Amino acid sequence: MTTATEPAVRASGLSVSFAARTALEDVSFELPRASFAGVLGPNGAGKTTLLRALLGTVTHSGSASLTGRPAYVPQSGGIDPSFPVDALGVVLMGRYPRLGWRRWPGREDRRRAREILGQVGLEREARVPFAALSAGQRQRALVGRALAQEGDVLLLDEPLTGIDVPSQEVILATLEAKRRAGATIVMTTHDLVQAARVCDRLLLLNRSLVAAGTTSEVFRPEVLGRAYGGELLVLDGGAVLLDDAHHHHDPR
Amino acid sequence: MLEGLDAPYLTRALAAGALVAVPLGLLGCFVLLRDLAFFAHAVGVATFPGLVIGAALPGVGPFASALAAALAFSGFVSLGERDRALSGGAVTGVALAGALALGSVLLVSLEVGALPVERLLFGSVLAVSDADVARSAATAALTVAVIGLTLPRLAATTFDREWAAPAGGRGRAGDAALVALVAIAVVCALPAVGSLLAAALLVVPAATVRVLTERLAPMLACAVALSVLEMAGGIVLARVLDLPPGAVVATLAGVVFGMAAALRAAAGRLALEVAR
Amino acid sequence: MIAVLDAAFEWLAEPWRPGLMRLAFAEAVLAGLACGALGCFVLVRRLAFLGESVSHTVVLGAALALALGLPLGLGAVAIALTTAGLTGAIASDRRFSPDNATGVLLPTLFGAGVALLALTAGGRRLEELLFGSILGAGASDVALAGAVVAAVVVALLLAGQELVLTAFDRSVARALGYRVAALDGLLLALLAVTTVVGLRAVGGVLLAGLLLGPPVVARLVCRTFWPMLAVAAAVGAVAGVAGLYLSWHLELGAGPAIVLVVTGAVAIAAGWRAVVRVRPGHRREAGPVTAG
Repeated sequence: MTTATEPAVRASGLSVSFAARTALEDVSFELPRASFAGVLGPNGAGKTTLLRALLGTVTHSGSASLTGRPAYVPQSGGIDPSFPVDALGVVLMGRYPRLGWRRWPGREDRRRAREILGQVGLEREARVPFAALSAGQRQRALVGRALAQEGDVLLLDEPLTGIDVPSQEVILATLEAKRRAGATIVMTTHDLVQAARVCDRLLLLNRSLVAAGTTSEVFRPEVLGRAYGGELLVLDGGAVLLDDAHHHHDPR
Repeated sequence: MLEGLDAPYLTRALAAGALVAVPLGLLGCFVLLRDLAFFAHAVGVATFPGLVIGAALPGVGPFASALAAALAFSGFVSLGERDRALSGGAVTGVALAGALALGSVLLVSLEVGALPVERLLFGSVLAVSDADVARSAATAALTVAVIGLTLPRLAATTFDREWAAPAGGRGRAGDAALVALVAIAVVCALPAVGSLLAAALLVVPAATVRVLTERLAPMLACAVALSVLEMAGGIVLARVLDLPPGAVVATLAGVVFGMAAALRAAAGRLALEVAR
Repeated sequence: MIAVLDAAFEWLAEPWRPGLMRLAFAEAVLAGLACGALGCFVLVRRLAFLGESVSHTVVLGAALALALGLPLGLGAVAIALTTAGLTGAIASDRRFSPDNATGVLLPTLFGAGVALLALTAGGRRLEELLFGSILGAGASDVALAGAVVAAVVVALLLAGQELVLTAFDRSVARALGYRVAALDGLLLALLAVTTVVGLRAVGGVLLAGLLLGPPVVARLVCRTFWPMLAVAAAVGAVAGVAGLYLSWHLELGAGPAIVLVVTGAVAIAAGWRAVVRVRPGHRREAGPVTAG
C-alpha cells in the first residue's frame, strides 16, 4: 500500500527509442496519489509509449515506476473481436492476475464482476457477446475489466475516443469514484477541453515533456502553444481552437 | 465390405485416431482464434521430408524425424514471418513448398525404394502401430494438462495481448508452447491421416463449433467431442470405402461444417420471422 | 580448354534436342512468368494462404472434370473461383477471419478431390496433379500458357495502375472512383487461370512455391512495385528453365526441381539482404514497398 506522501507515479529521465526514431525523450514528472492526470499531445507524441513504459512492457532508459497495483485499459485496436466471450466474461478476465493465472474465478469473483457490470451500466448485457456490443458498451466492459483488477493506479489509453457521450459520462463517473476511494488515474486523450474539465493534473507531451502541473497551471495558451505548435489557434478572449483534423496512423 | 471391422489394425487406428483427436480439438480452438490455420497446414506438409528421411535412416524412425522437421520448420517460420516486408504468409508458403519439394527429391535420391508416398501424404488405416497409440495417448495427456493449467492466461492473451502483458500474461512463452504442441499433435496424427491433411481436424471441428456457440468453455469441450467423432467416423468410412483416411476425415469434417452453417443460417432466418 | 567449353555447351544443349523437352521449356518459362507476376499481387495483398488453398482445391476441380468428362482446365477454373467465393462468404461472418475461412476450405475441398480421384480410378492421375507433369506438356498446354501470359500482360497494361493502387490503399482507390470489387474479380480470375497453368507445370501442392517464391526474391531486392514485378517474372522463368536442367541431368522430378531452385533463390536473396544490412554504413532498414 502507498503511504500518503509517496507519489503514485514517477518518471525520471525516461527515454524510449525504437529502431528508427525516439518516442520519448528525457521525461520526468511525479503524480501524487489520488490525482486524475490527463496526458495530452498530438498524435505520435508518445502517449501510448509513456503508459507502456510505466507498465514496464517497453524497454526504456531512465526510470519509470508505479506505486501499488496497476490496472490497464489499452486502446481496443488490438482486441480480437471474434473471440467468444460475453461482457461478464470480459470483466471476469480482470480477476485472473489477482488469482495467480492458474485458478478459475470463484463465486466471490463472479459476484464482484456482476457488481462492476452494474457500476458501468451493463447489468442487462452480462450474457451478450462482446462483439455484439456497441463501441460505448465495449469500452465500458473494458473499463470494468480494469476495475476488477482492484488496482491502485489506473492507466487508460484514449478511453473516451469515438464512443457515445452517455458512455463517456459513465466511465468518467466511475473513474472519479475510484479516485475518491484513493486510486490514481492516468488517462491519455487528445480531447483538450474534456481533459481540462475532468483532470486535476495535465501532462503535455510531444516526445519530451512540454509541461506538467495542475490544470490551472498548464491550461494556458502560451503553454499549450509549445505542445501543439501549429495545430493551435488562439482566438480573442483566450478561447483556444485545436486543429484535430489529421489523425494519421501511428507507424507502429 | 463390412467384415473385418473388428480387426486389430483397425482397432489400433481408431484408438490412436480418437486419442490424437483430443489434442487436435483442444488446440484447434486456439489455432482458430489466433489465426494459426496457415501455420498448422504448413507444419503438416513440412513433416513430409522428415518422414522420407526417417524411412531412409534405420534406427531413427519416422516419428522422431517428422517431429524434428516440424519443430525446425516452426522455428524457421517464426523467425521469417517477423520480417515486416514479407509479412502475410509468403515465408510460410515458400517454406512449405520448399519442404515438400525437398521431400520429393529425397524420395528419389535416397532410394528408399518402394516407399508408399500416398500413405505418407494421406495416411493409411494399416499404418498405425502400437507405439503410435501410446504416443497419441501421451500427447493427449500432455495437451490436456498444459491447456488446463494455462487456460486463463491463454484466453486473456488471445483476447487482448496488450492488456495481458503488464498483468503477467507472458504472451511469448504461450505462443511457443502452443506452436510446439500443435507440431507434436500433428506428427502423432500422421500415420492415420498423412501430412497433407493432418491439420484438417485442427481447424474444421473448431470452426464448426464456433458457428454454434459464443462461449469459450463449451467451444473447447464440443470441439474435442466433434473432433473425436469425425476422426473415428472418417477412419471407419475410409476402411469401408477403401479410401485414404486423411481425405475421408477432411471431407467429413467439411460436410459437418456445411451442415452447421446451414443450420445457423436457417435458425437466423427463423429468429427474424419470430421477431416480426 | 576447348574440351571444357565443349562439355559445358553439351550440358546446356542436350535437353533441348528432344521435342517434348522444348515444349516443357516453353511451358516452364510461361508458367514462371505468369506465376511470378501474379504472385506479386498475392504477396502484397497478403493472400498467400488463399493462393495455397486455391492451388490445392483445383485438384477437386480436376477430379470433377475427369469424372464428368469435361476439360481439366474448366473444372480447375470453376473450383478456383468457387473456393475464392466460399472463402469470402465464410470470412464475412464476424466470427471468422480469412485465415479461418481458408483453413476450413482447403482441407475440405482438397480432401474431397483426393477422395473423388480415388473413387473414380482417376487415382493414377493423382501424382501428376499434385507434383505437376510438365514433361507431358503438349502444344495445347503451351498455347494455353501463352494465352494466360498474354491475358496477364493485357490486364496489367489496361488496369495495372488501378490494380496496384487497390492493392496498396483500398480506401484511396475507392475514393478515386475505382470499381474495387471489379478489380478484385479481375485479380481473382487471373489467379484462377494462372493456377491452371501452374497445375500442369509444378502441380497443386507445390504451386505456392512458384507463386510466392519469385515475388519474395524480388521483394528482397526491390523497393517499388513495378521493378519487383519484372524481377519476379524473370526469376520465375529462369527458375523454370534451371529446374528443368536439374531435372534432366540429375533425374529428379521436374516440378520439385523447379520449386527447389526457387527456394534456393529465396535463401540466397535473404542471405544477401542480411549481409547488406549488417555492412557498416548501411543506415536504412527495408521499409514497405511503395506503389511507386
